[in-house]
Amino acid sequence: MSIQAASRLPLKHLSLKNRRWGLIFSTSFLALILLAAVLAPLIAPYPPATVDLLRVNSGPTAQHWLGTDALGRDIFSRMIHGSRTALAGPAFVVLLSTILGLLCGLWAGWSGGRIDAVISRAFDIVLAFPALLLAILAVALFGKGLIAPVLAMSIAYTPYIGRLTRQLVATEKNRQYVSAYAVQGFSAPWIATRAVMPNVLGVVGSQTTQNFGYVLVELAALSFLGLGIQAPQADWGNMINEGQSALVSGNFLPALIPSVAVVLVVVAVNTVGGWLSDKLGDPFA
Amino acid sequence: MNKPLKLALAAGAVLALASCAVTPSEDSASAAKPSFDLTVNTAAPSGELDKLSWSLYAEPSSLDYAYAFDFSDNQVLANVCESLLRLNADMSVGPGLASKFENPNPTTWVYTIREGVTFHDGSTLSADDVVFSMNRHLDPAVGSFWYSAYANVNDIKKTGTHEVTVTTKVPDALFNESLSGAPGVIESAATLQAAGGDYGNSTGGVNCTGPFELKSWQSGEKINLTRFDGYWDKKLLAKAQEVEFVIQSDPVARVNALKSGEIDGGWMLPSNAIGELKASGAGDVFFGLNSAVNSLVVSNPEGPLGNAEVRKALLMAIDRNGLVQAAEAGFATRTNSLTTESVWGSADAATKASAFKDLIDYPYDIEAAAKIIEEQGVAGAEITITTAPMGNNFAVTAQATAAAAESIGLKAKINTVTPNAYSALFSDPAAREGTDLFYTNWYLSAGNPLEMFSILRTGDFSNYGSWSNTEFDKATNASLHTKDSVKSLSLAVESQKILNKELPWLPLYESPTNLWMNNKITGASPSVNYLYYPWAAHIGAK
Repeated sequence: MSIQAASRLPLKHLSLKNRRWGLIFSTSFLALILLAAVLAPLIAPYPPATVDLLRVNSGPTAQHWLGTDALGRDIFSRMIHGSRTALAGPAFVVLLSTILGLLCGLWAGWSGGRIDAVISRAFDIVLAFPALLLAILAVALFGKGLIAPVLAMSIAYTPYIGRLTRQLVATEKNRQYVSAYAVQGFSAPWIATRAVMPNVLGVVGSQTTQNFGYVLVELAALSFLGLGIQAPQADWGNMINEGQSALVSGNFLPALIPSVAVVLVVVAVNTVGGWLSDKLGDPFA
Repeated sequence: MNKPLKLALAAGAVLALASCAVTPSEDSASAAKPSFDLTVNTAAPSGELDKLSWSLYAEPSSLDYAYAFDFSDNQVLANVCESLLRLNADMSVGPGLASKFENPNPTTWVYTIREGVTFHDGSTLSADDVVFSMNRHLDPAVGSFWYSAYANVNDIKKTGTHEVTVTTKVPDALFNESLSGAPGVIESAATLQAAGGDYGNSTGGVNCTGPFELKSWQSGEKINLTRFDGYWDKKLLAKAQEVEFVIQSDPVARVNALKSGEIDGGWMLPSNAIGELKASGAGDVFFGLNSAVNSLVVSNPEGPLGNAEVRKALLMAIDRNGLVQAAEAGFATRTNSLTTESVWGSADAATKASAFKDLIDYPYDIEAAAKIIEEQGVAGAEITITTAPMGNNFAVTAQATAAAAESIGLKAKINTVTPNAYSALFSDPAAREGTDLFYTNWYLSAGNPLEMFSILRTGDFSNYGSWSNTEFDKATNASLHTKDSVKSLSLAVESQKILNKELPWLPLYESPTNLWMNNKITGASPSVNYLYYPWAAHIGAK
């Protein structure tokens, strides 16, 4: 099963009670992570880069709730600070790809004909490249860090939003309310942006939410490979990478904790995305 | 239950279990330094082996002796190609492919080439092969990484059927000893000429005289050697019919393969895995003599670290005792010197004591270090530390150094490169561009500190920071040009003191050679000579 397919688990077939608890847990968890990211400098017990070489891989203690890493840095503090890049990176990608996808999809779906064909083929071409590959290429060309991968992934994720928007807009434009606006003399751009767009935003929004989870995993993978956020900045992908070295000494918390955090956030985001799909109508259902 | 919820709960359970499984190490944090004894020889084997599998932490960049400059290259090459002289486990030097060597005057070395030695292709070793092999180091077209050893050589000539004479421009105390390492490797001249640019790579291979011959090299996977039954030294005939070097760059995979018995042995174990390996009961970890010092190479004379005071401040900001614990799990010793006592073996007791006595200590003192940075007017200046994902010691040292630099007012950037790009730092000036500092575990091929000092002379190939100090050059050259080894080393003390004062490289710690052999094998001596001595020939069934 692909990641895309896995994200569309048929939540609607689950009991309402379970879905509600899942949703409550997910939204609460995401809110908590978001709060931690915003308040990181205020709530982290230690600065994330403070090294204590005589207290490395210490395991959970009263002073260090989640233990310390191979440099004696407090894992809990680094998790809190790492949540900033963990959320900011995907947020930027989702924002940029949604804006681009909406514009391109709207243009293609509304115009049809050659414009639609050209934009759709462009989407096909971009879709032929895995997002991670594009991000690695961007890093090779523009250097490591967050900016190049975020821009590359924004382009890579644009077709997902663009295709969906195009499909929805192409359906919407044949509806009677669109003809009614046209008869009343409203211009095509006005109808497309002011009348049609609001009707597709809900569905696009649910897809956007799910994209957030995939991007989070891919950006973490990039940092894990040493191509994204660079040490010593706290970042979950980086932390998994650095934590690897402690595995051989039997200390797996430094790698496990950020790994679990990535899994939990992705699950929570997908749960919320699934709920949104159910509420707003999943075009793939 | 909702699948995402199930996943989340499962993840939580794993986390909870993990928290229970990992012993909180309040104790380990303050644990005493682990003790380790140095082993000279392991038990002799009782029988032969069909196959010996060996873990190699990285793929050799080349098996051409002119470019074999790293641990991974030389630990393989040592079993296939031999040098004129042999480096013994105690770092003394004895006869190898040269059965005898003489020094009739301070600038002449006469080598008697051993008779009855054949290359793996069956051809006979001759003085012509020796001359041809040695002259490659002087050929600018070859660009040998070991040119420094030959820098004083005037000419290399065949002076008899089995005799080669080397004359040097000035007396060179290091030249003869260096022939026990890669600079002294002898290859078939015919093979060198036939293979051309492919010599020593995975397709061209090598054709030498060692107890094993190169059978195959599957790039990125493994290197296979087979026993050479025509080996000249019958006392050192290999006990294993085949040696398979498995390339394993991932330390976790390496350690698991060793613990499970999938791989029989390996050098250079990740220090933080030594406890786990020992506890596994699947084999033994042995410690032995080493000539390496783990240090930070200052590679940019134009940057803030071009200033000796700034280098001192940075060294003072690094908690080197902590580093020993964090980077090497305590299996190391903090040092102020770029040489180990083991390479001063030829020195008299007074010289040895003097070389390590009264060295400036540079105690861990952030406040004093920060003050120096302020006084030198470099606060806020940026340094770039280049590292590679090659193990715990690399990651910890780079990040601890970056943290130390930040703590005294410098800005530090870590540049992580691939292992191959990291290796290039040692041979390609272009690869070092933009790098101020990089970590090295620098070993000496000869049991002589002059090898370290000679590479830091003005303009030397390995003087990566283009550091220059007239007094140091003068002192080092004086030692190098003194024939009497005892007197030469007494003069070398001055070089040691200058390095300690000027810190062209920042000494961090020294650690013993380590070796893993599982319960099925025995025989290797855990000494740094494994880089030039055919160690695998000794290993057989327990």
